[in-house]
Amino acid sequence: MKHLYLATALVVSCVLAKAQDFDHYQTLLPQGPVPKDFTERSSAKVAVDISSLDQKKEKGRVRKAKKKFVLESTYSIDGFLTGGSVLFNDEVSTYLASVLGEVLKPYPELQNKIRIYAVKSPVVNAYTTNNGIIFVNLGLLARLENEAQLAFILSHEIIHFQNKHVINAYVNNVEIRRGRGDYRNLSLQDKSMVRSKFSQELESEADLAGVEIFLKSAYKKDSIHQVFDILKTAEFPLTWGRFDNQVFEGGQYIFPDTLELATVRKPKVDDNADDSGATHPNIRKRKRAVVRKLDKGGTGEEYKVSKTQFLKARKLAQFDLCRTYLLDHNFMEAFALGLSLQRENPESAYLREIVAKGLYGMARLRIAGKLTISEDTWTGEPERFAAFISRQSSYELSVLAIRELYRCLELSPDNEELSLMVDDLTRSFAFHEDIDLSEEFKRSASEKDISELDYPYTQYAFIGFRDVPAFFTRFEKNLSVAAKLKKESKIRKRRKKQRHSRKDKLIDVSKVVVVNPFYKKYDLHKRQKARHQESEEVLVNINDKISEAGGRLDLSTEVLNTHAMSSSQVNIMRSNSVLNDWIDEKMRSDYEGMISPIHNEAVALSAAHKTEYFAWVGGMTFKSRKHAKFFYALVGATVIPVAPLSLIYVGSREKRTLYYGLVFNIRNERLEVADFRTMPLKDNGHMMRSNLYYTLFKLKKSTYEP
Amino acid sequence: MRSSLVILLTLLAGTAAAQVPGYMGKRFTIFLDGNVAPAMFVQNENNALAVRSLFAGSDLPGSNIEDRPYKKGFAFNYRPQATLEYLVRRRLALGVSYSRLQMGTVRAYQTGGETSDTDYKTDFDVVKGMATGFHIKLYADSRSEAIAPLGFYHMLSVYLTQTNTYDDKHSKVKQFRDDFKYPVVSYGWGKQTMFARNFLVKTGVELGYAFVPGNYMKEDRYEWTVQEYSGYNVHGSLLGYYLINVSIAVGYIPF
Repeated sequence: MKHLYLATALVVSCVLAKAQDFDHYQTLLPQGPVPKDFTERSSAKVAVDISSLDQKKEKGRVRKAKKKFVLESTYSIDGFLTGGSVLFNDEVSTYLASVLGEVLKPYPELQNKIRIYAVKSPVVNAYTTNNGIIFVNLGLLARLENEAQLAFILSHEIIHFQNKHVINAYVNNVEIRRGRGDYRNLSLQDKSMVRSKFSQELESEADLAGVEIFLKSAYKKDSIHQVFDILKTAEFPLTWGRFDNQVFEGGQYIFPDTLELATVRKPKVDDNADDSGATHPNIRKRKRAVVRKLDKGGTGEEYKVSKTQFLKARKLAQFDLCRTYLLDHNFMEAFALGLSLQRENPESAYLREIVAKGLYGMARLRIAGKLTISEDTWTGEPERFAAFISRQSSYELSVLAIRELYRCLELSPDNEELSLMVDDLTRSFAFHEDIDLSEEFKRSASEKDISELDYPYTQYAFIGFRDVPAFFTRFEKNLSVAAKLKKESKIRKRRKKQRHSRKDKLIDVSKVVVVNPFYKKYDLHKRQKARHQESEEVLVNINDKISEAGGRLDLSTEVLNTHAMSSSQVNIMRSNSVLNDWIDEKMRSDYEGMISPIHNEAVALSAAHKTEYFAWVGGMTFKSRKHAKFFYALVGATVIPVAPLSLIYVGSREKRTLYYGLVFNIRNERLEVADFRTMPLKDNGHMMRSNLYYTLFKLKKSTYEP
Repeated sequence: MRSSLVILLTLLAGTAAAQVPGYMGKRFTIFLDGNVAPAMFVQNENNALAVRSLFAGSDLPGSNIEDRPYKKGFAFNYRPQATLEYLVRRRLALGVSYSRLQMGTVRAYQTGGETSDTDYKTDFDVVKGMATGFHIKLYADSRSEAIAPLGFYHMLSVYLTQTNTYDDKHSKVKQFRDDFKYPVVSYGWGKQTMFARNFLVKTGVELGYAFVPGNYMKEDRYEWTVQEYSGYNVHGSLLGYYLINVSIAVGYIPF
């Protein structure tokens, strides 16, 4: 009995340890053993898929098109699978698999053929691949109302797989593009219309046949038509409740009425939009067709797997979407969703920080003059969120963001990310404003009010903190840094080029992590231009080259290579997911020094991998036909001395290799090495080694100003 | 001597700490070059095409070339060369080279008395010798980046040639008392790629100018003596030999 209690306690503690704490939410990451879909080599998948194509009765060109489809789609899907946004064995994917299992109960033959994964994407969508993978975006799950709706969406996707819609659409598109068979002599516009019509037919078929599958399940039929209402509003922001700016007020820091919106515009939802040229029929048509068929169905339950699990999966999706919005620089969406979620989770530090980070992003964009809020999508109640932000000047928004960031920082003083954001925004704010900011804010309630301010209410922004003097010490420090930067930038403008100082020191780097190396080979002379298999071969063997290059420089290397990964190496996928998000955000950001919204996650990885230096390397190589061959042959024949040269020219192909290497210091978010090269040479293993070595060499020789 | 030592030490001190990646940190290369040129500008016993075009219809001494047992075909001259090269900067290499020269020339000799103007015969001889050179190679090209020693290069070379003529390529008996010693400058352009670990292949073109006396180009060749004829032919051969070459080399990067 004692053992039973102990075992139960252990299991419960394990479950609790793994369970998501929404107050300190951690982003969803892949878990457990890596599925075969992720580890199996693409070339092996292509071989199997091509051999399984039933092509005996098909025409030669159809066979060719199908083979090409298998080749291209397999490599493309595998790139997507290992790109870091696809989840597996996590709570959401596991739940999705349970619902899929419920839907497929009457279809045992399909159960082992279809796999399902959640995707960290805000787009309201689910899609299927020809080889049986269903992807469900978190953006869709976050908007669903019950499990039955999810079940219907999965039924729709199952039909796409069962009826081979993806490959058939591809083959049909090829036929249309080439003007074969019935599509002969069509104009471009006609071709586009025919393509659209065919796609719409497939979607309608998936809807109607999907209903058949759905009707066989035990889910409630009535709520299905609401799925189309969700799709109808897919482009609108995900918020709920009425926005109240009082959540940001405190003491005398009260917003003027001008920031509030008296009335909101009604959202313009057109479910009967012109769908000619679209891939899907319009929502009204789809809804009518499905509802007509549903009349035949009986009643059922909204939840078969579990209501709790659905609500949790949806909540996870909504929480994770906030992070994705920040990474995508959709700061307004993150801000609004964060505030909406805060109503149900008022104690969540994660949401508090999401809102503060959203404000930070918008303030930085506003300073750069690049904050845009679409008037078409921000209508209805969400318009109040948008108006609150868009009606504030750069000055007001910066003050608000600094205030919110600092409030969060006071609650978690060790939060490096928030600390960097406070410093960065204060400096950017001071850099941008031509006035002395130290005289713009009251430091205690007893101080006399400051007169002649453009925005008088902002003077009270910083007097409500727990430790006001500590804030102003930091504030002053940042103002002086900004002043120094301003001065240096003027000098730099005059000098144009900044030279390295003798005082600069070599950075101390002993290890570097190379993240998901990239390589593509193209032969533009051949019909199959992308040489997928050869590219894959290079990537599978790249670890040794990186290790050798690092070894020559006494640099320890670790490669997060998803092309050479076993099922037990889930950590590669987890690190890869965070780091790819991090670099994508960095590439998206053209605002110097802007702090990543997932800085802390990246720093945690830095500790796990025992280095601050992470590299992204890759290359592309092209082979193509040389131009003016006849001319050079003629020159060679006429001017005999240059004959050998013209012979070499005529007999060879044009080769070009592009290489890039970026090395970042994750902790200070500084780009240490930016290495780009175009070489009109044929790429091979030695060239790759040399390029890799040079990137790492540059890293070793990088300096910093002490 | 002292000043050259100071310059050399300064150069070495400068390069020791230079940021030179080389190939995986290796900066020293040994090349074996075969500088190939079609025998258009310099006679070659095998070069039927060139020899015919040069002498056809001529009543010059030696124009009875049709009688000579030349081989039909298209011939090349070559200049085997060993080159040592060291990367002193990221894109800059300095090198020295040693090459063996061997090319054809035509010598005239009198068969009649000394006063006879007509009793000339001609003979194909071989110019042999060597050249030592120094070059600066810059790995840069407007359309590409390079990681020396891989990539496109521009090269400036200076050679000192020392040649004499011999009866045939195996002969060791010099036909002129003094060797011909002339400087040559050349400009080369090409690319270097790696075909096996540490092994390079170089392909390119080298255009050179040998600083030989140019009087043979100005003077009336009917007034030449047999000695002048032979000497001037050597000058012409050397000039033609360096004029245009296709650089094909195999290199090794030991360290």
